[in-house]
Amino acid sequence: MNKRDQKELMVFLGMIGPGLLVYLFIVAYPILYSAWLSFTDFNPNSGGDWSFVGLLQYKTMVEDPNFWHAFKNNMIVVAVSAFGQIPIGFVLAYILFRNRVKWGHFFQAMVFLPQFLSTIVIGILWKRMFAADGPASRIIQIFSGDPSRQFDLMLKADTVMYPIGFALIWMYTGFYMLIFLANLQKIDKSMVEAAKIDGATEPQIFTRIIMPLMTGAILVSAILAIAGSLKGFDLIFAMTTQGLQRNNAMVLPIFMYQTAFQDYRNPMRFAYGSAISNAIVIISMVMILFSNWVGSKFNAGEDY
Amino acid sequence: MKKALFTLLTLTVVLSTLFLTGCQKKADGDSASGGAPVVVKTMAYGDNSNAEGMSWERIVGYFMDENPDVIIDYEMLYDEAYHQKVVARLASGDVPHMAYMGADARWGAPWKEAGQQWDHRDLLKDSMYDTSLIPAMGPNGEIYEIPLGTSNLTTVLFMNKALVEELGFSEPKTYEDIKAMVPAAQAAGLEVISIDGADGWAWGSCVMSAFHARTSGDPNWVSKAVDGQNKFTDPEFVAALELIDMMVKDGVIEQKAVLVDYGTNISNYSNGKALFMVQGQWAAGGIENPEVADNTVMMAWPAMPGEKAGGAGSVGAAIQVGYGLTKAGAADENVKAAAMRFLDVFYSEEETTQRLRDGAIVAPILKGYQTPSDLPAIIAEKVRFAQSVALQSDVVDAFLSGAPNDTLNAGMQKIVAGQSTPAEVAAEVEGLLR
Amino acid sequence: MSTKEVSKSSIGSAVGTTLSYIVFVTWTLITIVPLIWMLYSSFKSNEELTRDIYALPYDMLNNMDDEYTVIAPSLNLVYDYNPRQDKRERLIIESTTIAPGRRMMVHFLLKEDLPSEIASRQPGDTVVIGELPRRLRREIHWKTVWFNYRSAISRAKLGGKFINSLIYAGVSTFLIIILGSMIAFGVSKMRFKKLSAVVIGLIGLGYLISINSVIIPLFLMLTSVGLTDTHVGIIMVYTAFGLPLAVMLSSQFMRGLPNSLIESAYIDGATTFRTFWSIILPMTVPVIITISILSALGIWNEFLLVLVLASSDATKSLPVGVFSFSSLTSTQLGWQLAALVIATAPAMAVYFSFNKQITKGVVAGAVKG
Repeated sequence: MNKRDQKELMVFLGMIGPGLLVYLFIVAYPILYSAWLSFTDFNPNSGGDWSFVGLLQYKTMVEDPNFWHAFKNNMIVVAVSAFGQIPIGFVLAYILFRNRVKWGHFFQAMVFLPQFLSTIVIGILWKRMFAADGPASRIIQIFSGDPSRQFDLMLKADTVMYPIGFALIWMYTGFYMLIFLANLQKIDKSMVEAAKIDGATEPQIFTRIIMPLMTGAILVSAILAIAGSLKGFDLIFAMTTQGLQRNNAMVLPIFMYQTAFQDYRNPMRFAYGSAISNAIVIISMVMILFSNWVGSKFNAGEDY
Repeated sequence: MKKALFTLLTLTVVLSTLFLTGCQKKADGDSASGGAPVVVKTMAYGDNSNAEGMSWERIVGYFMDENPDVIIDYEMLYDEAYHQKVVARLASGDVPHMAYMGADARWGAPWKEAGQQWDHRDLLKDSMYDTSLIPAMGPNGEIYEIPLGTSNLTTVLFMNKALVEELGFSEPKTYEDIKAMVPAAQAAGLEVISIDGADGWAWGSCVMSAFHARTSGDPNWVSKAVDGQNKFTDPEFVAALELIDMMVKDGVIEQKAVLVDYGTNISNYSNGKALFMVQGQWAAGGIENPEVADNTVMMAWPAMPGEKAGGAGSVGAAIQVGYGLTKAGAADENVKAAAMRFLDVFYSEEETTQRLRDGAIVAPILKGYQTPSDLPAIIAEKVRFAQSVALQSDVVDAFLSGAPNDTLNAGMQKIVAGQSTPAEVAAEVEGLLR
Repeated sequence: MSTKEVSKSSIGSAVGTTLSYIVFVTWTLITIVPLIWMLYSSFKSNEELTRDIYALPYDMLNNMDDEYTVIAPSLNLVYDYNPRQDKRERLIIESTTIAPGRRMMVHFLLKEDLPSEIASRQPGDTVVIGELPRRLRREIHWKTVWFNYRSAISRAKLGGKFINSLIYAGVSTFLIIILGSMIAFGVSKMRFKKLSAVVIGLIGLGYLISINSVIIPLFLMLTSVGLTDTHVGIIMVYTAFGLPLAVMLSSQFMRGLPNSLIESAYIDGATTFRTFWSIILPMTVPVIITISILSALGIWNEFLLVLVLASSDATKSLPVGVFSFSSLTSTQLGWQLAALVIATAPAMAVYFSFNKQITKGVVAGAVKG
């Protein structure tokens, strides 16, 4: 390595150094610690002796039906994001892009608005929405004519993800809508016009011209959605009351949290919690690699 | 836009740097004046809108005015947030000197695990406390915290007497008496027994803590089960769970209760929408409507079908939580002395009386305490009720914690919602426990 | 035949348009109605809220006929003046309609301001607001209208927490942008490809990790270096967790900038840092705006980290203050709603006044350059 290279390396390190140091100082230690902890039986609360237990925590995890219940719910959340938020966001963006409604700007602002609310506010409002005799129940009562009917989807393990999925769509679709809208607006309008003159129908314009140009944006959105939904914790935590509701709606981050913070009976709760949180990271990595792979099949030219 | 953004950012940074250095200076100034005050790191329990939180702030403010040589450096949190912070602080070794704690599976477990429980017996002045009213918390009679009051009653039935009489009934003696009220109550659009069934803990603390004793005839059935002498799959316990199923089928408790949270439960009762409410004794202070509060009679769950004599009239009762020193706090003589000085004020007769008036406790643990004659009606009723309790039974979550307890609570909610059977829930709990 | 096709497609498009309106209008209602409810309900007393949770506020706005009871000083009174210094005689009255008997709605009237007949009333006597002097009447009127807000702000010390929230959002966002775009420049415009890939990989990993999943080791570590319960510690954590998104977005954007810019700057003799600072950074403004909005918003609303890391009022932020009213057993719904409005209003105000710039800014960096 010659002197010039060395100097340039110093400059490079100078550029990335400050940020990387802060990042590593804060993020690296917890990651390494939780990787280490997940292979031990250490209990930080009582301190003292510990030993390596190999894959014991991970074995407990895969044998724990609660883990798989949370995993399943998490996959539902991922599916809601990937097949709910993204397509709906796309459709809404397309409607706005083609000027199919008046006051488009106002509606756009309204759909994006939930991003600006804090989760605490959203949690309290949605909890109220689904409470006994709350607004959702009132609507059912009015339509069914039975004043004792209740909105009880939150109580059943097999239906709880509907209201939660609804809230998730409401909350995050606006973000994807904006991404798509911005990408749509970059499309050369004259291409669309030219196709029209050539006699192309609306569906043809959509599938032949618009979609191919949007695959990149869809892939980015998918990656954001997967990472976001696997680590997402706040909304479901805030919307559910501890007990049956939260158990039903359990997702991996909440499962991790409850294990580490509340399962006092289990002296290995911190180690077990670390194993769960590592599993979350691994699952999201796998899924993101997968969606990248799917993306590359569709769109060989672009790389993200 | 670019320029504006940059100016804005720079301004924020400059301003906050100023603010931060300002804070630093202030903190320095504090410690410089008055020598070196003793700092007592404390974890307090309460929130900004309840009596516990407001009185804590007031007492600390008052105490620090009078004792400039002590700083009660406290962090006040409530409910889940409190427990979470306790776990985080203990695990990281940032142990407070003084904290709100208990001695059971819920309130004492993290402190015990961390080896931070400390025996207060030598410091409790006989002139101030009636130590016979403080139950032993450790194997050798240790006392790990100073309870706010005597036993905390958790399975209290609050009856709206006027409403019950309006429907032509009187105080129920048996479950059948309550069941008989169902048609009339339904016709009047009223609930019979209101419970905050969305909270898993309410079923364990306010219902099952009495029922296990009723069906088994043993007030300590739960602690024995946790020790391995009984099994949760035993017919006694399954029978207790079946009582819940029966109440829902009879319409005594409505299925929609599983969607009702704590605040709504109290406000339903307080607004005369229910004949009865089941909650802990502490809920007495939350009944806001004076007409209902003044008309409330408090009672144990009445005689339940199939109950055994040994459990008749049982009311779930746990050792009251309160403030105590940790081992870390007691290790420093100055901190210990300062904290005890504070606790003398906190548990003083006038503050205790205020706590009684606020509805937070059943009865004080002070020596020779005279209950004032001008208590609000509902508090006087609570004192009367507490003295009438025939039998105290184990509160479930004082012994059962973690996943088995969560499963039991959620299981009872499933029974109410018709998604599980008592036998299934019992088997699940037993399976997780062992 | 062609006319048939046109009419068919116009019916189709009419259906489509109607559906579009239905979706957008419903969406708008779901978003806006709860917020409007929250706003007007924050002017209702707890008693009013328990009577009917949907009705419009009335009691607290029309308070001239409110009856108060004269009470004797008691331990649980919270004074709005300093009773140790101010020894003037006062008549203490408590509302009989808002939280009666709980010493929450209490006024300390100076006896010298009152007609002697009222001033001489004894504990247990009734005072009607309408019979007080005009100035006091007005004062009590406003105090009643803003009762929930006054209580929320003073009990939870929301003022200081508001400033803390501003500091966290402002300083962390500033650092995220500077440090993040420096890294982005390094990895996208300098020639250390392998090293850059490692850096990108490390930082990308952070995007998969949320604060709540590492909160315990994080707390352990910050406690050992004494950074818990400090502004610096909290800002560092926000900065570190904000970097992945910033690096991802801005390096992608910078890659799209022509290399010739940098080369010509070098030829002019500019240092690398100078090139970055005065050529690249200004060109990156669209993506910087995106990152600023997303980061500042996330930090403004973040809750768990401050809850765990901060233990004194000096470091807590607005969401933690709001949460102190929303716990399980909270019974003062009116205060809770006022606190929610206080936390929501600034973000809403910013959103609606800069809506165009924000919606453009949010995606400026996300659009492939």
